[in-house]
Amino acid sequence: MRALFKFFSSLRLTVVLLAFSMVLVLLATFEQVQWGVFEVQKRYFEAIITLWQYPEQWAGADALHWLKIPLPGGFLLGGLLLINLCCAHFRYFRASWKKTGIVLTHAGVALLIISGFLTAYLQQENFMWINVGGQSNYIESFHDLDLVFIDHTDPKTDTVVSIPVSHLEKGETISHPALPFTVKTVFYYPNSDIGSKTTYPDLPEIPANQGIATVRDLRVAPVRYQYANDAPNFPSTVLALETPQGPLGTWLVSALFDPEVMQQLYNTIPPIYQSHLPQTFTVDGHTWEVTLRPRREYLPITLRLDKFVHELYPGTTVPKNYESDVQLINPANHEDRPVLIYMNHPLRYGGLTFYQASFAQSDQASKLQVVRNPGAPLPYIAVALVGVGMAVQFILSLLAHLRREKSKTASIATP
Amino acid sequence: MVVTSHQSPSCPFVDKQYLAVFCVAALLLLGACKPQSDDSIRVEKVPKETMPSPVAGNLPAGHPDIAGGNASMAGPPASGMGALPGMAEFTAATPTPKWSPPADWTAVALTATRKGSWHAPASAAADQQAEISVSVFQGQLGGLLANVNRWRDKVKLPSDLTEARLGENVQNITLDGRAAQLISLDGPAGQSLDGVLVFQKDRVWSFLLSGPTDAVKSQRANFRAFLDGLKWQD
Repeated sequence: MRALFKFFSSLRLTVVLLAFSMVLVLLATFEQVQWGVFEVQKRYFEAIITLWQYPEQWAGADALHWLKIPLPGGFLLGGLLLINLCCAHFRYFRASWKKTGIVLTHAGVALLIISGFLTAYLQQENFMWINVGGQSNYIESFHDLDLVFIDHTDPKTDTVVSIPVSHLEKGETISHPALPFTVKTVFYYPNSDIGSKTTYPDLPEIPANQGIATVRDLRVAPVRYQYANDAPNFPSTVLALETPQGPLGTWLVSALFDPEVMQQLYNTIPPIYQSHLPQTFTVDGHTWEVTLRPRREYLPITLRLDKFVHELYPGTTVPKNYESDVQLINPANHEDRPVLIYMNHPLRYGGLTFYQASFAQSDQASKLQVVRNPGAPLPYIAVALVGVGMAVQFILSLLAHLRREKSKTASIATP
Repeated sequence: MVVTSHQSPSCPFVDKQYLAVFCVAALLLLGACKPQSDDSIRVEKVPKETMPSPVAGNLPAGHPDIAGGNASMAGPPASGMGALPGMAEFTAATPTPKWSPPADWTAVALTATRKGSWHAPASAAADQQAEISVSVFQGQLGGLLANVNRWRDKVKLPSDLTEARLGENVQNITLDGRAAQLISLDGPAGQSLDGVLVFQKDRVWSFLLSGPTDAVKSQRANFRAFLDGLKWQD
């Protein structure tokens, strides 16, 4: 036990951990080219152990691409650094007001590491698209997708049943009390392309007998999943729906059929899809729509985009300013007020922060990045603690030094 | 317990050694508790959405053709749908094997997934043509059984072959050192097909000779010679 404590409180361990951290950050930075920020964050920093492979893009990859080196991940390094800091503190700590600055500095560093963990655990990043003149009351996930069944029967509300695509990836047969039918996954492609029979004459027919796949005789091709930051993925699936009374047929459902996706890809709904989307069917007098789309979270507020401004520096194409002039509407407290969201001036409301992120459709649509991070204040507190601690320690050392000098001078003056 | 080392002065409140164990346990617990993506099915009642209807109509000027471009809504299914980036890129990025097609094969235009495409006559005098194609697909295309049944359906044979009877239709061969499966089918309606599938980790190569039975039969030797002379480049 003593040896363990000695090991964890060792300053050599600190140096080794910091060296590994530097290597991890360097390699992860290189890997972002291939895997993008989100994937690298998961593989390298939100992991206990990570496996680095010699990149395909590097010189000599033909001979060295097989090379794989296991490395401690960010969670392991951060955790060990935290343990190391705590153990070292208690090992070397002597209770004295003269050490106040060191205690504060250590507390600040520990808080910084803890805030890193909290951010990894609790932070959620979503986005919200709003067209000029339009409004939105939901945010959408950058990475998670849902298979969604919507019951449109009620004239005032829709009942939305959202099924994470992880169920489809596992090939599950899904049943739920809110659904009067079961959903069996025939196949699921995490990324895909859809074309007509003419475009893909060598692809097999889709095993679907309902919906747009049969009307337009579509083909679906699996496509390699893309990790780069700006590379979208378009999953597709074929589902067999069945009620206790009998089958409802097999349906091709794709993220490529999502109106928002088509709007951004083509600025229109391609004629081949017109009048065939959304795909709907009826069970016991209820009309259900089926679609595959980014995971939504409905908010208690609505944002209406009144105006989007995209300014350039005069005579150039260099952006000067992007801003969204929105109306914030919260029926619960009768709030209805204008808000201006622009670069470095986000809207903070109800634990969410809305940043100006992008725009599209010839400046007729604005994209807001919406972040929820309960641990956001912690890094500020941590850095402040470190700063105050260092200042206190400096002042205490300075005062001690001045006292020593003074007493030395006094002892010289009085022989 | 008190640590007596002069480097490790005692702390009246904390047993240091147990503290270390506690910290390690806390770290492991922290790692184990990392919440995975929420996997639960959610049911919500939401106000009727007033989604702005996307503008339906023709594509902007200069936009690449999609889905038959300006096909009428009331018209027949559009015949040409532009491919989104992905499949065609994969095909284009996959190195084409080296091959020597017979002299009487006529090269024809390639489609998005084809690396080679030819027409071959049944004989110099006949007007029936066999089609030869080489395609590469990402993934496994549903596996061997699904493809054999698909090809059986194409020549109007029952497409209900089971795994147990798959061997009746499949002959294992080697293409330039790679394991391959040859499927030779003669349908009842005068259509035949010789197909070769080469399954690799992330792709499937398909070599297909198809068409009227007479034309296919007359080209089988050429097709096998073509396959035997193939040299992989990927």
